[in-house]
Amino acid sequence: MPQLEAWQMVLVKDNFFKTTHGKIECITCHKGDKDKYEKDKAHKNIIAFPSEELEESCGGCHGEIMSNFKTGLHFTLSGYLKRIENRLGYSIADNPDLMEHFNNECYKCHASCGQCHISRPASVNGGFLKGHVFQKKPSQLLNCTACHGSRVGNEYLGQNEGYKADVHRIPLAKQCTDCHTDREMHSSGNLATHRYQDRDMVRCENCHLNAKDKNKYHKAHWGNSSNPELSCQVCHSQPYKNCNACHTGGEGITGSSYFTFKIAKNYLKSPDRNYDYITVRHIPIIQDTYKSWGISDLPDFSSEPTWKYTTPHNIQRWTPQTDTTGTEGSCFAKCHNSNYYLTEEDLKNYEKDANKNIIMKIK
Amino acid sequence: MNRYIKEIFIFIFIFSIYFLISCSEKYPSPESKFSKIKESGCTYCHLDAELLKKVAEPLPPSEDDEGEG
Repeated sequence: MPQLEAWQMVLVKDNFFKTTHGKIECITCHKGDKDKYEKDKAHKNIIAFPSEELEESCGGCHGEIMSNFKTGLHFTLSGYLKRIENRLGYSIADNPDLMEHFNNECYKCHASCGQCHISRPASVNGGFLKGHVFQKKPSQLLNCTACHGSRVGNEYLGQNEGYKADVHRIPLAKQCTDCHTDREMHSSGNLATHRYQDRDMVRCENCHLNAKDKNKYHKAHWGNSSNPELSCQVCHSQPYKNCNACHTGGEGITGSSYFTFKIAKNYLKSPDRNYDYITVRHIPIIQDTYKSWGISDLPDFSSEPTWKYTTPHNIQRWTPQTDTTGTEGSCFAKCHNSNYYLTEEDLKNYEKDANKNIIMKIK
Repeated sequence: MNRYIKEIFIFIFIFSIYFLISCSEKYPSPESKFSKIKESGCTYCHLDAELLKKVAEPLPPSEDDEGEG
């Protein structure tokens, strides 16, 4: 996604003033001094992103959405915070230094209203979507994949060499928001600290429940109490990107990324995701990820797996796992006891303890 | 009689003047918010691409690999 020039980012289009939000004076949301014509004077006390203060800016008219959204993961990033605190073994809420690091480096990726409905996310330097005209639906390219681009976006769009785009991708017809609706994005007020515990999050079964009895494989592994329950991605995902070694302080990913596909035990069972086995993705956490914050080692590093529950967005009906032609062996022979399993051999020494409860054993 | 007619005309004239003055707007009609916005310092700059090009400070390039995943 090419970045806008600085002047393009803040160029307001005339038609904004014909919209409902365009009837509100600029200073109502942005403060500053509307009577000054010099940049520095006009921008004194300016608020560039007013919707960071949800209730003050948007709550007056959109109160219910605001009261729910302020608990949602896109706004709170409580999933990030919780993972950091779990690995540290203590809360950082009362530690101003660490919270400052968290706010500067992690929380900048959270989404406020404006970062979906008015501009590109601040994490990619922002810039109006359409001349400040509020967009009811966020742009797939300019909003969703601006943040979720390197893995989910590339998978979904088929931009990983050798792999197909997600079967749900219909260019110009389907958008992220067709599945990830406003209910999920705005949240319904539940206080989840992990995306897969968020009960507003879409599931494949929301649309495909009628496929439950479509074939013997579904019958065997979908709601059959005598067999293990599989997440849909276990059979229908292609290999996906995995990462190594990310560091705060601007270093970013310092390890290599690679494509693989791994099945592991579900360590996050919930009423909505009661699968026994799931797909997992290697995440770039490492013991000294936060060394720039003064944390050279994470005392409870093993409290969270480094192979993390994932739902790759590269779904295909026919994958190597679902190929039942027999040319590569039966589905059973390919999947059971296969190298699709995450086993101890896949783990480096530093992460063996962290993943000991999710690895599979070849029988 | 003429005197009465003259007084009536004078009365009508004075009343008309009074009527015209009293019916003029005591308060300026509220301008639409749109027109107010159009006149502010904010829009003076933010609607003018050429002016923005002159005053905007260039930003550092964004990173290639976007986001969390």
